[in-house]
Amino acid sequence: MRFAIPAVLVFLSVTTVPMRASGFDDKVFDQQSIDLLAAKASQAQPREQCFLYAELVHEMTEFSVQKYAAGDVEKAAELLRQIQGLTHKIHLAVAEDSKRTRNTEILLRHTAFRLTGLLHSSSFEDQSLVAETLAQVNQVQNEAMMQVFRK
Amino acid sequence: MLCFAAILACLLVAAPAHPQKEKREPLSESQIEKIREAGIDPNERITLYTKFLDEHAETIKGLTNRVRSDARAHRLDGELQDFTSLMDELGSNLDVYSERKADIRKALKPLTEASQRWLGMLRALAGEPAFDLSRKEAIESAEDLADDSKRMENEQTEYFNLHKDERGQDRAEPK
Repeated sequence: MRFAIPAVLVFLSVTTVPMRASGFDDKVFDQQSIDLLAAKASQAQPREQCFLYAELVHEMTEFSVQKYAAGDVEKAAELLRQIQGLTHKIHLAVAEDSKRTRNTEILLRHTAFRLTGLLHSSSFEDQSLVAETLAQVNQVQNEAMMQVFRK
Repeated sequence: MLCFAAILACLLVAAPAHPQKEKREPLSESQIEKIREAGIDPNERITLYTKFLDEHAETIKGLTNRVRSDARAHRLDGELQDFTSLMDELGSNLDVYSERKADIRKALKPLTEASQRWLGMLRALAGEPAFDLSRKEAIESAEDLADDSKRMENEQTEYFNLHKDERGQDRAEPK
């Protein structure tokens, strides 16, 4: 019973994952916007950092998907490795603020959805890196979700 | 109708002429760069803020010793506002790190000492109408910061004595 509410919410969050790219991906992502966001995230106030790093992970995921589709597998893989480093920063910065944490969780869920798409479309030799990245994003998404429940 | 148009025209013309409050940036570009490099590290960030506040305190002290003039008063007013805004920013960072149970004892000790120094410097500064409000606000912020820093230092010493396995952590991990 103790786990009933989180279990229902996990189920709901999994089943309500957007079926296609929505407003999150309307923007065009490039290295310049990623660099700007990285600078903004690192100098931001600690309370803001969690969401900004989640935003950065999302932008880098989208850019990685673009690069992979364009055949630049090396750049796509480099971005995924960088994302893995950033998930640790999200873990450290998961905020106590419920609204910000909720937004972070939604964005990470969408990012995980995009990575799942990439996992299915990538070639066999690239799949382990994508799967590892996806696992880390899932982990911080769960953490953000549990933080929301704690409130 | 004509009257309404005339009023609207007056408002449009008058709006930009209204004096706007100068937006101040308490950190220089190089200081922002250093904060960026510190990234997410709580001790590093608090140490940097303490250092930047010390630099501002030195500037204020330097201005205090100068001959009284309008320029000096204006400069002091701005410097005091920057000082207050940085202290408030640091105070809000401390709240976040405290909520996360980050081990910030290393940075808190010098901050507690420095905040007492800043408080002494601000109290010794003779008030003048041109910067009296800024001075009062700075004293209030310095008092809050000194209290918070001292309180957190005691709380953290107690907490990390009880939870030795959590020493040095950036945040409390779910158990």
